Amino acid sequence: MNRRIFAVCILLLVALSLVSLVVGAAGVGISDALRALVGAGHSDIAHTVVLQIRLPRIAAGIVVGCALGLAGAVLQATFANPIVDSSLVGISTSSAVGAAAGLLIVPSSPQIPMLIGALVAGTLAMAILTRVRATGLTFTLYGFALGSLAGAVLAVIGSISHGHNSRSLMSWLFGSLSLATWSAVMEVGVAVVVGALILARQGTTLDISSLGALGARHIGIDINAAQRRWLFACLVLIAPTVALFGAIGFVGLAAPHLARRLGALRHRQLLPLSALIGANLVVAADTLSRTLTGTTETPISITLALVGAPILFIALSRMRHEDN
Amino acid sequence: MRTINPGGVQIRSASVMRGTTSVLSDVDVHIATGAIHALVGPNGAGKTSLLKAIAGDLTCDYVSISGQELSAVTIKDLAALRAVVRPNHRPQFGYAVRDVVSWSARDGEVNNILETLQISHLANRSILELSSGQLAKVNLACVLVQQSDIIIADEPEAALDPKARIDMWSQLSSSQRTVVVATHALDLVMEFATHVTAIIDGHVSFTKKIGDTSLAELRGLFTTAQ
Repeated sequence: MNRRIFAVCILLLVALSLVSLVVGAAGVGISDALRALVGAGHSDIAHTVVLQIRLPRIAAGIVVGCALGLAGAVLQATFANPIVDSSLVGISTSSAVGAAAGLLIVPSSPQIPMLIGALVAGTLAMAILTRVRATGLTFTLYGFALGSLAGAVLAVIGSISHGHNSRSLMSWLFGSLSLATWSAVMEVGVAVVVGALILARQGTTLDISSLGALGARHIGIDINAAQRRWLFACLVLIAPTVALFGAIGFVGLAAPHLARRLGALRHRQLLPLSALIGANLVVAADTLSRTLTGTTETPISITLALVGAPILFIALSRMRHEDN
Repeated sequence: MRTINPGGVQIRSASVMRGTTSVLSDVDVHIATGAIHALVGPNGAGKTSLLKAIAGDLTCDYVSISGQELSAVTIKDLAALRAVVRPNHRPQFGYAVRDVVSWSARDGEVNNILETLQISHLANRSILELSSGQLAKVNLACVLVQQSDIIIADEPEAALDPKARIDMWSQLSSSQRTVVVATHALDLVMEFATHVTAIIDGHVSFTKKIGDTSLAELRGLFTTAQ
């Protein structure tokens, strides 16, 4: 695989981050932003906007994108299915139900209960999915059904939870980085590092698994044990992300496909490139969601589709289609 | 009579249920070392279930390969006993042929196998770009490099053109392994197999050496089954 692809993606991420740093509603321009970055003018508003609002959001976009892109690539290999990601098969939405339950039960200090709820519900969703005796599109349909059910439960929770939490709950349901804080960035960042460590040196086994679990077993791989390990990694990646920033879709599906389109076929390259592309997508989408209308935030699910869908569409249309 | 540590494959009083229906009941088959052993019979007769039992994919009463009872063998050691030919489905992801074959290699020489099957020129190609015939050869290369005692194949000639079907069977029969094949290609069975077991409605109808049966007899299995 071409190292230049990685270099270009990193440069693009830096460029997108810089753009994100200097655009926004507060009217803080390039020079103000750079001054704030180097630490000048501690008291002015630019300092607060850049260091306390925009920078954590950019960092959140990077770690969230890495987590979702990585999890998407791993889930596709685990289930030997290119039409899989954490939101498409209901893992994210289920985690969100668990997190929402945590928020309702302990509204005064919801952080830990939300994370625990997301972990428990995410585990439950994965347990259900691994017991589905189906592959390919039928598997995806099962996951879609699970996600639809979880989405409905989430909507009910949202509608009955009037009061001071409901507004933030509703904005969080659709996914948003607007609540990004440095502690939240740290939490997801740790999740990405731990997830990556669990997945270290798993590349070839993931390659083999992506061609089918039974075939992997036939050549001597304990595929059930491997799948448990990979799903645990996905849980570590997804649950904190959902608990803090909501169920953000599309990235986990699109990032691995874009990475493959760029030539990263084997998981040793596919995993890091999917993470990197995920970061690019989320940072770009979040910047757009802050700036698109000028006054209110556009939900990131909408801007992700605006940014990512055309790219995915072009990538797919330029792929060889074996069915023809 | 010695029954201790027999070679080949032993299946004794194997029964398989799917839900409440019996797919295989009380099946006894012995597959001799070095045999090219065909399983024939109508669709739904239980051929695939029997192959799965031999592959260790579903548990049933007693199956042994080279004297080792499968239920007592680890997944890793199972790979030394049996290799299973992948179905000729389109793969979902495009890895290079050489990579895919080398993943199956226990100690076989990938390059030698590719050369033997005359697919060395495909080594760096993506498995998505192969024709059905080429893909079938890659799948065959995978089971050959696995260097297992027996090879299991479920309709390996499916989706192949007439020449590729013959190639597949002649390469299986010249692999110097014990081969168990479920198939509807009765002409190829008569040409390449050494033994044939007929399965009807989950029961073994007969097991014969190929010289003791005829194409007409094998065809007869399908007319009476209606």
